[in-house]
Amino acid sequence: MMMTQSSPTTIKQEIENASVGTDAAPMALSITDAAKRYSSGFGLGPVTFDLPMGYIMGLIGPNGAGKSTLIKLILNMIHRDAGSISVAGFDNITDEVKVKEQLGIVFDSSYFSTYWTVKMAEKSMAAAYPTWNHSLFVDYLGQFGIDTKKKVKDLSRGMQMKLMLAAALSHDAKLLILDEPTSGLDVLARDDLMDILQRYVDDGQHSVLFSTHITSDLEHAADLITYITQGKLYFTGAKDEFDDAFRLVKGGPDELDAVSPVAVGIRSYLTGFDALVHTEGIAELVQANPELHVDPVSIDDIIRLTNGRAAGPQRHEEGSNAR
Amino acid sequence: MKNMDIKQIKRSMCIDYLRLTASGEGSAWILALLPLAFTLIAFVVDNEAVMAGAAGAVIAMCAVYAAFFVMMVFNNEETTGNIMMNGIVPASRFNQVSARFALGLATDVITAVEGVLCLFVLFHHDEPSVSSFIGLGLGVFGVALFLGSVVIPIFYKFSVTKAMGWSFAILGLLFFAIIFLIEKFISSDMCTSMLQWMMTAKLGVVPWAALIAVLVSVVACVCSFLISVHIYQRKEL
Repeated sequence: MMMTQSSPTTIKQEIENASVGTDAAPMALSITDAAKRYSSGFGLGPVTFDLPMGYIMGLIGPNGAGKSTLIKLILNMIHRDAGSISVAGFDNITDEVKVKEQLGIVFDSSYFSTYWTVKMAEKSMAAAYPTWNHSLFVDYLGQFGIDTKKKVKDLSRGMQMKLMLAAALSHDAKLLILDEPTSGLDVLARDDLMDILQRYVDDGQHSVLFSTHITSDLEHAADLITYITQGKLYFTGAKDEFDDAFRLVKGGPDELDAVSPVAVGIRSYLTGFDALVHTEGIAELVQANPELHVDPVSIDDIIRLTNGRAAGPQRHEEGSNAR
Repeated sequence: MKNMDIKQIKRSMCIDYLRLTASGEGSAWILALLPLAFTLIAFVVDNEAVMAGAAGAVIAMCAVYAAFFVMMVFNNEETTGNIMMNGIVPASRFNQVSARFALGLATDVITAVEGVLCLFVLFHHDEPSVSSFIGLGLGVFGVALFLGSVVIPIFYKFSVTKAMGWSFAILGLLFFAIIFLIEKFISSDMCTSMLQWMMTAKLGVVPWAALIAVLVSVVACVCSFLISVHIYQRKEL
């Protein structure tokens, strides 16, 4: 499932073949070769992936990887240089209004005016969305403990996130896009959020794309993972495949030379190293170097090691998952 | 114009109104009705000099208010992070700009009516003609529309802090350019006769003169709208 320059057809086939069993599922989000380049030199893409209806996709990557840029491209807040993006079958530029009616958004900071009361925030959303559901919104506010008379500026960061979430959930959005929604939330609230998201997609008619760098959230909730680093798509596919695609290899300084050629990423220490190695290369590696320790890998390990000294998908293009 | 959609404009106008009244609907309306308060005070004092001063203040306030309110919308949108909402609202950028101009037009009309009402209260003893009030109303509307037309594209182009500076600089330049042109090319006799043509004996404005001002402002407004759409459609939020 590793990819750098995959064609959209290939990716669709990959998702259909993925273990989550998304056969014939309509696409909530389809991104094909989307690219954006800033005058600063930072560039995103080309990025290609699909999110079928009924699934939660975690969009991961280190700070500055391009996650928020990708979300802004979906929302047509910034101009796309290449590629295409569609939401529920609608092009995000030519059918922008229809697309936005299908979307529920949570940004990493409040998009409601800080001078507004919660009631005014609701008025703005009710005006914007024809499918606005007042009683559902009130239910969520009650569930989150948000006082409607309070001003947005008097809510904590976590409460502001919850307010945006309540708004996003209250107009029957087909696709929720959440940009770092858990960063202001405590552990209990994060768990609640994951439960809400899972219930939201249960009917198979809704999907969630959420970016985060708190990867423990993904362990519980995400079905699919899209990993972006340094503006490039590194992986997209089923979460289990992402975990299974790599192993964490640990060894002493003497084994470093043996592991380096097959490692996707290495972090060296005085006493040894951690290396990320494709699972299919592990048996051969361990057979030749029995002193090596091989552990399952966490998402954090993958991010940490693919952004270290030996980072970059180009390191292991000959691997069976690389294209 | 084929992209114009009333539903989308209504959505955006409603959000713009919430931005305008972000500090409270009451305080926004109190601010808007301040010229009426001036008028009532002058009416109670019932002194000719005070009334003349109040009339000047009322006309100036009403003419400037509409542009000021639009600036408030831009300010509240940007300084509170609410500009991100423009990226999620189901309304095209064209219609978002249309909504802002529509809100500006609505405030132009309200302030023009308010100006006429105030002057009627102040000068009702003089029994001025209805046409002179129509002229005054059109005059206030024209100036308000013109000021808004100058200001809006600047606020679409720049951040609020920069836009404030640019707006005052451009309006100041326009003011001095007009004074300079009058000084340079129009003799004082001609100026006096033009003013006599424009103004009625009882502080009204001849409707035809005001209508010319309105027409000039409408042209400015159309240009301003097209420039604003051009800027905003290329802006990255």
